[in-house]
Amino acid sequence: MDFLAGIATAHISQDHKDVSKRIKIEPGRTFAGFGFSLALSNLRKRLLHGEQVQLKAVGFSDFPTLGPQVVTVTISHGGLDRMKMSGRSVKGDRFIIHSEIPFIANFFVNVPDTKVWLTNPAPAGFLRWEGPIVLPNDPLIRVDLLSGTKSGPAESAGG
Amino acid sequence: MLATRKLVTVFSILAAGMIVAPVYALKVTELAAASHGYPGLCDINGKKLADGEFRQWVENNRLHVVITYKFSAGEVYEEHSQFRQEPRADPGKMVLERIETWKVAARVRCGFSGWNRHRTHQPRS
Repeated sequence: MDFLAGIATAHISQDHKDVSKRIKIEPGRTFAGFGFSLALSNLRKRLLHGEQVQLKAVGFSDFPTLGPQVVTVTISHGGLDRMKMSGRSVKGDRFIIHSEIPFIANFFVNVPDTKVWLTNPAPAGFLRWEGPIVLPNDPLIRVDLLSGTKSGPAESAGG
Repeated sequence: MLATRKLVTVFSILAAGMIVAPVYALKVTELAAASHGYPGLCDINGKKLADGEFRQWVENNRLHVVITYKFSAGEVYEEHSQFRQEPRADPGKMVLERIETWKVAARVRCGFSGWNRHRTHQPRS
């Protein structure tokens, strides 16, 4: 994705074709991938106070046609969790990135929420990410700050 | 079927246009600096799929982020991003602005179903 030119490109190897599309980027509020972790670090205080913030996300979807799309996402604080990674038990604030899919489109595509955990207490840094790989119906994956052979699910820490 | 999809698209766009509330550019409250780590990528059940390396540094007033994942079968997935986190029109306000992202250095072919894609777009220098 070239955010300056406003062009998103993907190559679908199984179909042997490139998918490129001009997308509308709103500077300073359109993010993708790791950009959301950085954005969350800067929104953390507002979100912890119960505020919900809307940003734009660039993602790929196979509806209505396969290609990049910009969607509005609502970001909120989901709670304080504890989780095991790399043999340690760590604590983090869970933030939920919810795609605002139009009502009618909901009949055709199901976009699971993406979850990002930032370290608690502050300073807030990346702790964990969970979401679909690329397309909304792709398998969910998890990225942990600490790499280990086994990663445990996040459970409420009652915070 | 095609007509139905077109109708759905039109109504979806209309609906989206009505619910989007105005939001201003994100202000930077936490400046990011150099960082280096080794994250892990796993499936949703916690089974490890790839070892990662995370590198972040500031160069030419831009925050560079490179995340690399090496899967057990040898595949490599790499995400390159650059961000601008500098004052804009108002010197008192910092704006986090993503300026480009995604460059994959090697073909990605992951060991689970549903993912057989790679991106080859080269960002502009």
